[in-house]
Amino acid sequence: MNANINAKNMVSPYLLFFLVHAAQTGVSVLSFQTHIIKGAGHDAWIPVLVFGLLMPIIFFMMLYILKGASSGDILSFHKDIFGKYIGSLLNIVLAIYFSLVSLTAIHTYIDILQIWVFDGIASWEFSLLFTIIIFYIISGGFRIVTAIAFWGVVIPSFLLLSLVYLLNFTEPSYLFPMFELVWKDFFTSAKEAAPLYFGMETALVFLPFVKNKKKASKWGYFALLYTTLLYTIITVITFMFFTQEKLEKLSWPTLMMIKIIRLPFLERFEFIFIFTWLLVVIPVACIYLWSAIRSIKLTFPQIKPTFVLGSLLVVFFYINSFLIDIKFSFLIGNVVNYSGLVVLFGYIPFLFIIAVIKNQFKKKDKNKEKGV
Amino acid sequence: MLRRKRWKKKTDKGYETVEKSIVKVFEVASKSSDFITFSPIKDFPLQISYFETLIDKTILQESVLLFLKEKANKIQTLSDVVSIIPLEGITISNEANQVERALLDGSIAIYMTDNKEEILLIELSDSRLGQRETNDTQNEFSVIGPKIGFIEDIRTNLNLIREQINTADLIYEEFTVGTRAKTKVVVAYLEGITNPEYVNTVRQRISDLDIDISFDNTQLEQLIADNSRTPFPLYISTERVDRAVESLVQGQVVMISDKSSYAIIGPATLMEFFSNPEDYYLPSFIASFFKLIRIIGMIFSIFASAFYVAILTYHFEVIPKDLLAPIIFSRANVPFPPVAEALFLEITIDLLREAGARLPSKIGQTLGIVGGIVIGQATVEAALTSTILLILVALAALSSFTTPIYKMSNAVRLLRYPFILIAAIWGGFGIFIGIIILIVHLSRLKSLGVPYLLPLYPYRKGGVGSSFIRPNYPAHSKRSWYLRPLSVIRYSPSTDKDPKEGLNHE
Repeated sequence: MNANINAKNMVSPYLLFFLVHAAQTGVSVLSFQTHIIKGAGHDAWIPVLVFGLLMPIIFFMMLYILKGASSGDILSFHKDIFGKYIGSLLNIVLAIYFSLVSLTAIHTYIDILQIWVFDGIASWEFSLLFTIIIFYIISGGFRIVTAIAFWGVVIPSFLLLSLVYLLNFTEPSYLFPMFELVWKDFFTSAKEAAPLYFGMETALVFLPFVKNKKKASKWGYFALLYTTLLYTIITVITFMFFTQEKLEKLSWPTLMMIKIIRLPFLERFEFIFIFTWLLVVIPVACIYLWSAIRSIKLTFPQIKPTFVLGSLLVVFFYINSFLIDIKFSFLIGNVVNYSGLVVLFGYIPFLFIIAVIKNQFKKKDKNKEKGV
Repeated sequence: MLRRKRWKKKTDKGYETVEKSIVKVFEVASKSSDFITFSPIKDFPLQISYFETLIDKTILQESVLLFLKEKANKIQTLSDVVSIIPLEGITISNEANQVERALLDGSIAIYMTDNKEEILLIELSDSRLGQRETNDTQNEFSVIGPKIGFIEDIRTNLNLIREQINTADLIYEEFTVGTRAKTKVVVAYLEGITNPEYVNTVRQRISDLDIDISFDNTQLEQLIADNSRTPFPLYISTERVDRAVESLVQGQVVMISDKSSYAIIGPATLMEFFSNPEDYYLPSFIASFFKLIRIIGMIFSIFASAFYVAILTYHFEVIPKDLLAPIIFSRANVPFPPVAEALFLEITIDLLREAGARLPSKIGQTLGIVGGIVIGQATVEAALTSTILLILVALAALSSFTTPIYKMSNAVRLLRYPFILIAAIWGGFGIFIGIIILIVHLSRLKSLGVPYLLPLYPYRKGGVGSSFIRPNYPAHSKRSWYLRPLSVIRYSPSTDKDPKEGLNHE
């Protein structure tokens, strides 16, 4: 299946947990609560949970699609099904989507930095730093991207302790009465919760780099469940922490909650929180960008990947430095949200159906051969 | 997989004149004042030549000259000499290169004046000549445990190791390194335990090496490193015998070279640099505590002054109200920005360290007083720095010295400067960017093809605990399996030595 990938570049199965989880958790965790209450109000944690439980189904579809592909990734699947030209076109569209998500992650994080921590440092300085470290990480290859995904889950996990601290300030009665939502509200909230779960679609590209697929897929499901659990807990705690009216007016509810934490030697914990969040954001940007470069590399094998990386980062640098208008942020945010929804709930099921039909035909062919 | 891909074609390792005759060899050698040529027997065309700085003169007098003169009348040809002299290691050669090599290794040459084509060589070298007599560890000290260390003589060093592990499984493989000075390098490993891949890699890297002269093992270490653009040492260099022996037993490869008092151990992983042989002589609770102190010290040493700079430059909001007063009080009269203040103090400390390392030991003691008390006290009184920073920097310097391996403690010291600078420019964000770069850099490093961060990343079960603490002996009976030794179990201790006691057995 993956004859073309050297065992030296592959990573152990358990690392899929870190890759999937790291790709899913990003900047949206800091602000999603405000968006999801639009429909279901104080019951909006239910759509988050249900949506998360849907994810393993999508992941199953992805694994099924990749099983049928000639070299184990979606890029070869595109070429198998749609032919060389349309397949390449689809790969490029996918690459554009991946790089756009990567860009948004950095763009939003720079926004947070400027709003919460520094107002005196220009955007171009931040984006230059991002450009340099992303280049340094991705040029090291997939193993290094995995390394940063691993540390990007392990190191920030100490932030989970802050949730325990927050429990002292919660008011469970805010959650009641429960289960008052109607279907329409449910879907409105679910749509807003979707961006939280974006990230696992990159597995369509990097899965051939993981050893022992059967063992690895277990870790993949485990990561999806862990993410879902984490998001649900954060949502519930936020809803117990703020009243609905207050929550509507906040743009970064998670950070607002964290602000209450005070340590004897540290007055404002959210500084540490925001900086440590860099370790959460960088893997997202890197995994997506690596996937984009992989897509381009397999479509145009004659271009050097480092060159692609360099030119994409130059574009990133330009956009992050100079297109900092809030309208533009909304625009790319919306584009990413819609295209992510389309990819996860439109395109992957569509490919899944194609893969199923293809396998049926294969079976029939085999049966015919046997019959003859 | 572990070997280097780039197979360099071996060049002719000769930068000197390749074509030589024996006459020419003697001609060149006799330009040196320590090259002696004389005829031992009167009126007989027999001559002896040697470098007097390299040979043991008593053996020459008692075993060679005595017998030659006694039986002078029996000598007709060179082969007669062989039967006369009661020593082993006598060869007759007619190759110029061999003769030259032997002369330089401490042999004497005996030949007929009229026939310089055939040379008799007797090995009389005195390798202990000019070596120090004491071999206690001076740089890796331990309070309890053996204090014996390596010295600058390969035979002594090999003897020290062999005496500790007296088994035939301990294999010594000898190489010569250097095109001009041929230095002996011995690669030691345990047959049946060390993974042969590592031995092959070392073997290949040493024989691929092309260098004119190797002064010390630590130089060799850099030459065979997987990645030379890093401040981190990729091999452990130690002068302690017990440490070298321990790593042999763990399945690592040890390299020892002539004229060097340091052994190199590879493959090494980052966390190994923070363990110390003394950990194994102390009870495991105490040793674990000390080891944790060392690791925390390393982290503190890298980040303390960087966070001070970041907080005072950008994020003074994070300082609690009660702490703000002492900080303001101590900084009120300081005219510089925090970064200048921090750099000034850090460089002062490094100056003291460097001066302390270079000065003769007797003057060095006075330096401690001058540096520590006079400069420290005076800078604060002169309002050049704040007392709080002085405390931080001094503590950071102190904690960087807790790292047992000198090369690693230097790497830790160096890392502070980029962190201080990046903190001065981008505050806490800069520090976290630095952390990411550090993590990526460490993940990229390899030692003999083994990832440097093992067993933390890639995570290996059972290794993380012993990276941070020193497990007790019953729990530590296995070698680290992720270093792929050929046999994993070292010993099987009996865990419960006491008769059954306690509530359940009453």
